[in-house]
Amino acid sequence: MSTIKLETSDGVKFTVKTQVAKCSGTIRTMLEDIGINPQDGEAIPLSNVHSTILQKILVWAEHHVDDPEPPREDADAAKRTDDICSWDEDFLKVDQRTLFDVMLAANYLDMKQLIAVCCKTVANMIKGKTADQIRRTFNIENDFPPGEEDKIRLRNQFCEERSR
Amino acid sequence: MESCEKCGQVVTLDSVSVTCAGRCERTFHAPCVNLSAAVADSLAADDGLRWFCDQCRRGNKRKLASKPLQRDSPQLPAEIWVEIFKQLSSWQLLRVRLVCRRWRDIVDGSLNARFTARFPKLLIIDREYQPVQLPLPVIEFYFDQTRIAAVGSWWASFGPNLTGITMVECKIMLPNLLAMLRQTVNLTRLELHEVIVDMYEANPVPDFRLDKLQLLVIEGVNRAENLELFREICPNLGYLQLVSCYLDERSEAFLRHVVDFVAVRHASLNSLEVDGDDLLLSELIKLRQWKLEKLVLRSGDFAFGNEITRIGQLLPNLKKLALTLKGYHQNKPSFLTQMAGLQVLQLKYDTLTTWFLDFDGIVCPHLHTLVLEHINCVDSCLAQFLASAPKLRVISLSWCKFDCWTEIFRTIAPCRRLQRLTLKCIEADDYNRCFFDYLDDLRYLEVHKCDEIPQEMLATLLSLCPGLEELALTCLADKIDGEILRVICGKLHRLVRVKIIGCELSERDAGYVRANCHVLESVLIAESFV
Repeated sequence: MSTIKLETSDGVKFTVKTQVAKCSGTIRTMLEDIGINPQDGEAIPLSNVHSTILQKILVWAEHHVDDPEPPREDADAAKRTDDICSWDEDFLKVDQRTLFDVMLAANYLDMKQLIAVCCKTVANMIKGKTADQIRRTFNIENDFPPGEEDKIRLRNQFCEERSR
Repeated sequence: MESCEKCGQVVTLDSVSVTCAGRCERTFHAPCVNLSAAVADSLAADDGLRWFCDQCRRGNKRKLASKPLQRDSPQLPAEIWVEIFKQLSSWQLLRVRLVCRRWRDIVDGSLNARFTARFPKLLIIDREYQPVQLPLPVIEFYFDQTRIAAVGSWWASFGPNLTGITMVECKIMLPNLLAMLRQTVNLTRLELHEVIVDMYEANPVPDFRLDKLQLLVIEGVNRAENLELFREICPNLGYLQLVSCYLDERSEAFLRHVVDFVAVRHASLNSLEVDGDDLLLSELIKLRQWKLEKLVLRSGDFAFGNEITRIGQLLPNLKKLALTLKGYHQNKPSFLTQMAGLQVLQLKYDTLTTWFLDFDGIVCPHLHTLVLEHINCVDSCLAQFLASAPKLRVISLSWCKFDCWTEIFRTIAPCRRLQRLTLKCIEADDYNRCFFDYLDDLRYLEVHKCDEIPQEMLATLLSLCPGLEELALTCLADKIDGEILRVICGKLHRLVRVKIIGCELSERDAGYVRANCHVLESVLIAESFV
């Protein structure tokens, strides 16, 4: 089985099965299009990813390496966030900082499935919460000038969900 | 030029001033807030020192303490937030807009997609009308009983952004409607429900087309010639619904226009809903190159003649078929055998009595949903038909006639994977002999006004559906006894919503259900539908 080496921002080298590494669109492009030869023994530098996060992401990729290509989703399809498989759910039971770091790394590595499941997880953290509860969850400061929030709230009343 | 919030005097460039680092961001003269010039200078140098006004100070102590935490969590780029927000409903998005400026800008910038502006009811839009400021950009408009007398210049700033317009019971002159639609080049969905569109002369010649329009619904047509005009401006329709609301609308002229419309535009359609009758059918089967997947013929005036059999041959890709029939003699829906891919089938008779339908030898291997209304199922071989459809998940029977309740459950018995079952106004005798098997997959059960259902059988049915999440028992007079309530509260552990309406439940019983039922979301017990 062929392997390649990856080097993280903090200089840690990982030896990874090529197939697993190819879960990342970025790495796949490097190997297939740019023609970096993994047999050279040179490590591919991943300057934006820390070793602790890469290790976590590799665990995910290893588990999902044989997943079929997801079907193309209709943009208008019903929004579902309750279809996260239990393995992923357990995998993403981490503190917010780690979750966001995983998302940033997955974004950099172009791992669409991992980003999708993380986005659903974050969306579930938003669902059913008021603006204030959301701010507390994500530690966001309310930077609207006083009164502006009420103004937006008032205009919001004019809008509503599209009836289906 | 700003003024000091303390003394009200202007803060000039050469006066020593400080700005609050809190939410208010107000400016003060340094001496007015007892700060020395040296302190004010070091604040201005931006070396990490912050100053808060008295008002913001208390609130900000807490915020300051949480600041390092915020620095801890990395910032996600806008593109990831967009992906996250895409998972949310419009309703939740409106809340997201309130969180902070950045989130509001992300929602408004890339997720404009999903806001509908709903105009107040009974509004009159005339020359002077200006809409209140909307959270831009809105992409759907909903008019309810609006009278549109004129279209002002404000429309030009909204029109090009719109992808959907719904009008319900509105009144408008045709030239004004055309003036509105001329601006909506991106419109994909147009629904006119009982909208009176008038014109006292011949149709104007439209000088534009809505090339992106995918879905057109015209329910109720006051002027048949309007259809001709819509036919001209909507060249790429995928979904077309042209139905009358009242019988007297279904004049020869109206049907002629419907036929013409479908004849010209049928090649792009994948869903069609029209009033059916023999004339329409005989015209439809002359057309070729259909790619229709969904066909609904309602308030029909036809029997299973040659035409409907030909429909089966013409539309082998059909996935959904809904027919309203007029029955005068025994009918056999043999055209179904031609439609091998059918997933949803709805058959109903447009009468007060039930009519016999013969399912003997009919096979629909991919059927997922079956809806029958006003159908006499006695000796109809329905059981055989259902047994030939292993993928059946949804059954709805309304005003249907069976020999007895035992027969109903014997009929349903082969559908072991059934998820939703609706039984409304079923006519059947109350022999209570059989015992049936578990319906483990059943999530939804509705029983409405079934006068002859034996109480014991209802209790048994409920206890054999342990996975039930939604239960509606309505208009069952005094059928619901203590045994049934004990089953609901004691055996159905996965219930999410329960509705018991018009069942003559005593206060004590209602209280028992509310206190003991395993429900996640809602229990509604009432004596009448409000």
